[in-house]
Amino acid sequence: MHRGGMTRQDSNTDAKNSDEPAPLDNTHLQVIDSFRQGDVVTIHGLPVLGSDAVWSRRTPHGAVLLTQTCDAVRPEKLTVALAPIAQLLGSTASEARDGKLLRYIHVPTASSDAFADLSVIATIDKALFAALPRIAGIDQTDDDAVRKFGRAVGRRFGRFPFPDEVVPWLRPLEVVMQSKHDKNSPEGAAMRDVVELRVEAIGGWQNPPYALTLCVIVKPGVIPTFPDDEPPTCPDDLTTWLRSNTGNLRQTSGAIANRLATERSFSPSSASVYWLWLALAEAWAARCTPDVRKHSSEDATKIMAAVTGIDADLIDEGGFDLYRYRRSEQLDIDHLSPPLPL
Amino acid sequence: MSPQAPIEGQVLLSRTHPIPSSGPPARAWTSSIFTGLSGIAVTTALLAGPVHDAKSLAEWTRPPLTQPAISSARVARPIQASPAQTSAAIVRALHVESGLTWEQLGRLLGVSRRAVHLWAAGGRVNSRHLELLSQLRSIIDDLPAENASQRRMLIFQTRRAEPSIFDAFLRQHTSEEGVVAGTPFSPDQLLSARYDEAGSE
Repeated sequence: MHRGGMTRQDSNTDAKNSDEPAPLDNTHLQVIDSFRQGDVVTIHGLPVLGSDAVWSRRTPHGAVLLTQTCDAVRPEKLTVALAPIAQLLGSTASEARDGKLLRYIHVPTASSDAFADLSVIATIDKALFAALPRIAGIDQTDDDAVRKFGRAVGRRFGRFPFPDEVVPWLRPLEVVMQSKHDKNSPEGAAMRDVVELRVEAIGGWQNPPYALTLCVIVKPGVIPTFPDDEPPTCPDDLTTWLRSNTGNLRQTSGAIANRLATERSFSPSSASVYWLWLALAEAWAARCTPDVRKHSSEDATKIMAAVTGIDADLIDEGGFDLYRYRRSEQLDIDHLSPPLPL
Repeated sequence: MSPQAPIEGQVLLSRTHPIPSSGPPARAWTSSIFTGLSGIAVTTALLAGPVHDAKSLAEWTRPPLTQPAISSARVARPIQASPAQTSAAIVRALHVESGLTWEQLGRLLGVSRRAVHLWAAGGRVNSRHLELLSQLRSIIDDLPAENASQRRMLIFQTRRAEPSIFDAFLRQHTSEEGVVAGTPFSPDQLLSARYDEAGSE
């Protein structure tokens, strides 16, 4: 947020000199039980500590309570955290509602175009908060909406920081996913069967170069199940189509998804569907190759040296165990924004 | 594995044809793994047929990992295999000769059964998995057994208070993986956490 949206307030030295939040009196205690994360209050601005003064981010649309409900209602906790409400329009609002802009969280009950803007977060006394006009921003009878808001707050601050040099490897997959996911294409349909993409750095993220595994986790029942441990026989024509004489995959993810869609329409539990799903996961992993032309020679060298290779694992949701969950990171591709230069 | 002619269609590797890997040097890692596994020995008591004398796992293992697992004495002819063919051949040979199921191989390698299926079909394998494959191949290769059934028995056999080869391999390579990323807090850290207290004085 630039300073154009802020006004200068009292300087630090002008502020009341207090090291403690204001205590709660009986009036406050009578309303504190009704505080809910997502509540929207009318307030003129939120304080931002500047280098020589306290600035106020104006909040003409109000501010939203970010503090979790369980803490907001506890009388011994004397402060709460607020973010300003921003009104968004058009595609920006649409992307924000879809969870693609981590800075914004939809506050649906307040208004269809109201979003908490997490670029500014201020701490205020609970006593002040209790005195402000307040409406519900989230329908508290809708458990999903309540959880969704809370998780969106956590997502903004809890994302895993992939190493800068690794991000360019993952970027091409991000582009494919974003361009295809919502579209009525076979690859888009396959992507919608994917519950989550996770990235394992076998050996950890401490010491590059990284050997990565793209974990493609799909809904149960999507991958055909066979009666024993042996893989089903891949039809010869499919093997020839998928792989070159040297064994390398020679089809793109789009082409594989097209054939997968055809095979699924005929026989969703066939051996062909099984092998096509495996090949599709591999093709997505194969997409993870950085475009070094976008980087300086020095950065390109660092990027290429950072990853030794990416393979793929296709797992259904019920088969992804805690061991692997703990050793992998969610590919939250919406915020793969590298702070380049490296 | 016993020194015998290669199975038809199986690609055997010579020490002069290292497994392609652009990963970090594996020697130190190999060394540490088998330092951890050393002392585990396999006895032959449960084996039906005659086998070689038992020896320590450290003896069976021949670093470095980036070199192939099969001794040159067994290589009938040089090969010109692509990386995909090479890794696929290693995976298929491991499955056949270890007697392990695909599921068990997956567990040892930290992946799903389907990933091993994919590798056996020529799917791409990252450098660390190649190292683990080679590591495992070395162990299987040197087991004092003559067939897959005997090898499988040895892999799961325990000796005194020592874990089986299967469990020792699993423990060793997982303990090498360092900091857990996905959920970095231990149960103790989570359960004893205080949200915003300053701490005990």
